[in-house]
Amino acid sequence: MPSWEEITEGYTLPSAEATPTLEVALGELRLGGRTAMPLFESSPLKVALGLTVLPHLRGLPPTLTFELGGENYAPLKYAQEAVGAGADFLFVPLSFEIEEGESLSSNEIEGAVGLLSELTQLTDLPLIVELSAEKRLLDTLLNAVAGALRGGKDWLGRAEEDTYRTYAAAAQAYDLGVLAQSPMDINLAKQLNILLHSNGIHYERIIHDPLTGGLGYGAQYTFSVIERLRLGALAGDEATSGLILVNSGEAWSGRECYSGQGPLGDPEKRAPLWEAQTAICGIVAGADACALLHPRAFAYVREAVREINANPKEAV
Amino acid sequence: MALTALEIYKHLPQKNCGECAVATCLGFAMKLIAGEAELADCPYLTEEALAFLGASTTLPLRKVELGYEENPITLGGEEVLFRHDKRFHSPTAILLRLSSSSGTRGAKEALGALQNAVVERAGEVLAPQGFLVEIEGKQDLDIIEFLVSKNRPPLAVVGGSDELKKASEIIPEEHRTLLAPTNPRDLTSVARLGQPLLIPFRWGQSLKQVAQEIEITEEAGAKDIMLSLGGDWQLGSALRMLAHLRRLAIEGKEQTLNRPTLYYFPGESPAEQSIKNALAVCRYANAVVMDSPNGSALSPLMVLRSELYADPQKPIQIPPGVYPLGAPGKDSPVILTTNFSLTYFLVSGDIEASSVSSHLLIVDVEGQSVLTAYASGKLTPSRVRKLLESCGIEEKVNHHRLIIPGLVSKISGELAEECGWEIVVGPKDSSRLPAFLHSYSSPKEAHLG
Repeated sequence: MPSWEEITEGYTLPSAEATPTLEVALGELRLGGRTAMPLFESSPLKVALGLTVLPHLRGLPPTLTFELGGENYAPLKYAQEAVGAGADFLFVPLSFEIEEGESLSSNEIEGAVGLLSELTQLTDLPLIVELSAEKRLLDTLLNAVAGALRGGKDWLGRAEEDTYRTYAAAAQAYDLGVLAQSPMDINLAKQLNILLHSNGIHYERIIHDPLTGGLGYGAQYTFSVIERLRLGALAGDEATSGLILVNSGEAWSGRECYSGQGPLGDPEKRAPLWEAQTAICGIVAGADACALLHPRAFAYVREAVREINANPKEAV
Repeated sequence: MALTALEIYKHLPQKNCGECAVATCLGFAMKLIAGEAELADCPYLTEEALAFLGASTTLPLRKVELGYEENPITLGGEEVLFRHDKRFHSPTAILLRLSSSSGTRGAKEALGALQNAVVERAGEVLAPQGFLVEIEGKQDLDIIEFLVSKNRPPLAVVGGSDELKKASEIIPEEHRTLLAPTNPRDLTSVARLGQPLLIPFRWGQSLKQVAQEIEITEEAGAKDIMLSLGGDWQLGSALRMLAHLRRLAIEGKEQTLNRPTLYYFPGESPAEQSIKNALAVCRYANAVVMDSPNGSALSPLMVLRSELYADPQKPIQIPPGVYPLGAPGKDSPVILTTNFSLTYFLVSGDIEASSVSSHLLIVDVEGQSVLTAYASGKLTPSRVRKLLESCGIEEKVNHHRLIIPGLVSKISGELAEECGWEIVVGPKDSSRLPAFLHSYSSPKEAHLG
């Protein structure tokens, strides 16, 4: 079989100067280090694919609940399956919602800490933990949660415009990476990275989720924001040259993903494709890591990436 | 196109005659840049000006039109590599493959499938555009005859040179149809049939060879040429080649290989094909093929295509009005937000996540988000009042309580006065809506006092 050089002889592109994006370890994988947009060059499509481990299945659409094990769902058992399925990391969203004026019960904090400790004992895979909690709860929560994670390996967030200082302090104290999140805006994304950096977090230690719009719910904004962040980094902007994460589980926040019939087709078959294409959209734009929620969506994307990177010799 | 309107204007006759249907020559220059006018619209261009402007206003990736002349689809004609640089113009066409064994009954079913695959969302109609038919026998020609006499959908026809010749006798010349010879030796004879030509780019061929085939077939008379790849290609190579061809056209200003592409991996399951096509849509394919009209595989692909080809400079607007989320009744909450699509999608998603059935009111603020609309003076009490009066919400609920975004809490007093509704200030961030709605709808009294 001819090589890429032979195939394109006489029809090559002028090689442009590019600053490589930061090379960062996520568990066993070395991510980043890109010198071009995805599929613009012959190097493999480098992306870490993770599975989301939920503490419970309350409030999920029935199709997803069923797929994840239904009434028999247990986070640890599921995490074990995720490891077996070949996840590169585990994404753990922990949500703490309480009434105004009340404080977190120690039970809730212990539950979260317990789950994280068990996960760190279960697997060597890195955890990316996303806390959803009001700012006032963070003081109580962060020490406990960060203390349950492994320094030098796990990541904790989500640090936003109004909470980044707290997260930066916890991340430094426990040697954790920071999951940052900004609302689908290139300037805000860049600014948040700079703020974290000026609070002592190296760009290598930030993984940035520029907020994933599910397919049909703003996926094109995510696509363009990620492309612009990547192009900025390749043009030499250090503040945007760290890792980017997409959370394709966001696909499930739009009902067309999993409900309705007729022209939309069988929802049980559609939903994993809907999520997989949300993931693909982010990955082709330049995301370095993708957290998937539906196991079949994970399998689709994993297989596609494997096929894209197969036979590197023959495959240019 | 690299020229500015002023640079183009210098080469125009500058008589402001209006014969091009634009009042001034400068206006015409701006329309040229936007792709809304063509050089041929100006009757007074000198030959030098035509040659100069023609060369610099040619789209880097050429255009091919398919389908009946009154309602064609355009493939290609792109000018940027990244949608945020300007916009993508011609959404990737999705063609359904017709299996040959089923005859005209199959074609009728297929036409039905085309209509059944139509998805309507947020004021937009999504559907596959046409068919790919492989001619293996007489019944396939019958299918083509049926299709060109019926709905005249855009077609791609695959076959040997004799079959394609027969097909081109059935297909009227004004029904632009992509002819795809299975044997590369037939390229020149098929090129003479006067229809658009699909040149297969086979795995292992060099770009030099493909460029030669393009030149030879052009000499034989082919005007509109597309390139196909897929099937025998390794997936990663196919996607990289799609990207390479697009970059050659846009960055390299290449003049021979700058043709729209058709990408087809046959014989996969609907799900696998949907995934592979999604990758191709993200990486510049101008047409993709699905082997079956399977809704669950088609619908995400159609939505993906529609989103990536949306104009990033124009906020996508949701028609104003009342949107029922869940099964709202007379007591259900009424929630206000703006008609910027992203705002609508986020808010409606968060309301759905709460499982609290609600009436979502969309106010027209010219497609701006809540804070932008407030800052620019578009989210005004009088606009909200007019919406409340005209959208029919009065008949749908038995209360007058309106939940407004927390970001515009400042207007609540003025709004209450203008509309006569009780105003409840909701959360600033829509992700807090589920929690808000739960405490709002269960102990209702707390909010009535």
